[in-house]
Amino acid sequence: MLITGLLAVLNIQTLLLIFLGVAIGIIFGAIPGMTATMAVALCLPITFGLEPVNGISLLIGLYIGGISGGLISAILLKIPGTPASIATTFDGHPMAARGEAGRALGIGIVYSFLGGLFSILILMFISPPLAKIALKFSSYDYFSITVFALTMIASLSQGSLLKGLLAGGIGVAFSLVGVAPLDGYPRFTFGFHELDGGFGLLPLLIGLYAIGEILKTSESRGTGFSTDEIADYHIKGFGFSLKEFELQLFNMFRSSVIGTGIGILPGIGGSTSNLISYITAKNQSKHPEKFGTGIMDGIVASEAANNASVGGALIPLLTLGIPGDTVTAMLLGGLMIQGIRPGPLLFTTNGPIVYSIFAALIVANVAMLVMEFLAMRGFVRLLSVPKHILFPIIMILCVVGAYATNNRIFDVICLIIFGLVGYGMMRLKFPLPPVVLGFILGPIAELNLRRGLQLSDGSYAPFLHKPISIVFLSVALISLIVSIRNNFKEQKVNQALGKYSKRH
Amino acid sequence: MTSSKRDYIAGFIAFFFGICILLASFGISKTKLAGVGPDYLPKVIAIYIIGLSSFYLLSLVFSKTPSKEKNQKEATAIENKTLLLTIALLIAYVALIESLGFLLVSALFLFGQMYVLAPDKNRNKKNIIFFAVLAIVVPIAVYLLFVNVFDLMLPAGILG
Repeated sequence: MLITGLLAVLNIQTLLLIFLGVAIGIIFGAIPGMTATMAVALCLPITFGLEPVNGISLLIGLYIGGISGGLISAILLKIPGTPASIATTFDGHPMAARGEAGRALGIGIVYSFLGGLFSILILMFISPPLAKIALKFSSYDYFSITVFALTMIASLSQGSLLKGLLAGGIGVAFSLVGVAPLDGYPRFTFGFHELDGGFGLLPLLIGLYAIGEILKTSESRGTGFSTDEIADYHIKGFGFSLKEFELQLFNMFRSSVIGTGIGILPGIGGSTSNLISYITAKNQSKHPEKFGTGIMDGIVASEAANNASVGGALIPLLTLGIPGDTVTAMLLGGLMIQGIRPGPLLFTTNGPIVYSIFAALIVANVAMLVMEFLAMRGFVRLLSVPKHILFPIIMILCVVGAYATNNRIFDVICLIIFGLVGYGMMRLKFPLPPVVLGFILGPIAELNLRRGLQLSDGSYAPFLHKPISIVFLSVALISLIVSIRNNFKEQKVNQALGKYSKRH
Repeated sequence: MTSSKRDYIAGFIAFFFGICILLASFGISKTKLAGVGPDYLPKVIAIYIIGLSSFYLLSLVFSKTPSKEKNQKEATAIENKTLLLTIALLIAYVALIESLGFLLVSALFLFGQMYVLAPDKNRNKKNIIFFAVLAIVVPIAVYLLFVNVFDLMLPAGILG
């Protein structure tokens, strides 16, 4: 069956469309302010006039390229191109700053490919049973999973644990603006109708990171940042050895499983899977203190997970017709326009199309690997552009991205406000990733809490009776206790070191 | 700014942010749905932030870490002038984009921002001409690409 699918995709026109899609996707993913969602939305009208297989192939190319492209700006500029590559900045940028930009990119690209491939294989072979399990998740279970993911903030906060937890709370607070779930009560809108829909994730993310980074650059003007300090043009292959690859095998596998698993759950997806995978890798590592200094493990964890979420997100989409995020919702639209209705019957009624989708995914994944590898040396050259020229241009692109999402100036205003907030938080040494995680997860937790309580007539008992829910709540509690204990240990060690250095 | 002063400021800002949310959340009326109303999460978050920030401030007061290293000045001096100019440019950019249009205001912003961020040695005549060329070419290229190829909308302003 897959052979017929491959045959449907392996013709010049379809291949060209996939490569074009991947190329546009990578560009959109790499530019801060432009995302995979936007790339798919913009190209959706083009697919109307194409054959079904061609149209879907183009969209899939855009999706895969868009998720993967984020690693480029995350590594080179410390600005995540998309929410899916936040964790890539943690180790990718320090590695690049050490003069190993090529190696960091090579690792990111290869593990994006492998993570993506893993999830595509899962999608091809065991998606129906997995989708059935995902369907069994009730509001109670969703609430508990989200709470579990929120407790991950504790391990995400480098430095002060309390500041990290506070940053997470501030992120949730930002997400409260707009109409409340279920009853549509407008909260904290202060009479501004533009606030009814709440703040967008894009203006928040790009404001905190990109604008914050520009402001941080301007505070250190003239301290030699315009010289090309992090250029590494001598890249051999992908920049890592077979032995290093072997060492990362387990990490890759675990990250891909996390990425696929979170991708399956509607609403959570790639924006959080990279962070959760990174934290898990750090917590299970024998040398957690090395995370954040630019080690391979961190890049592998983040990039394998975010691309694995692509295949994961397609599982409920194809087998149940449920889109998990905005990109898959757009893909669903693209499929429906072609007369293909995803759902349990898709595999029997449109068998050939399903297999061409699988084939297109594999081809697009390979296209992503090849194109990013070939363009890698070009990306690295971006670093030789002085920051005083590069950052103003990035600023313009951020404005275009923020404005174009909803065609309103309001989002651009939010972008600047979040930029100032982000800069202020950086100055006060609040970590930023918890803000983003809280912003994404807060509304999901609230929606499912309120939905669950409505179903149970206000009783909290089902949260403790449902097996999936209780497991995740317990894990959340344990992870919280462990990170608090680790933090105390760290503080004690630091204090002891402080006393030691004072005495000597 | 010393690091301990910075920590106190951080704690107080978070504390007042929590108080503001709590006060504002009393304005949210309850609905008749079963379970918790729309005011529930805002109140929980407000109390969470107030509680944590109070704990944080107390831990600063009673902290035993030697005060010598705490009061160290930040290593790098901060260029307040450049920073304020950048913020002013960003605000002006957003304030004028609708009336003047994307092309014009982006060109002005690009030139201004490049000049402001450039180190002194790069502010010679040759470089300034280069900034000006970039400031004209880049917005036009971005506009053509996104408006004509991708069919996005960008504010046209007085040129439109």
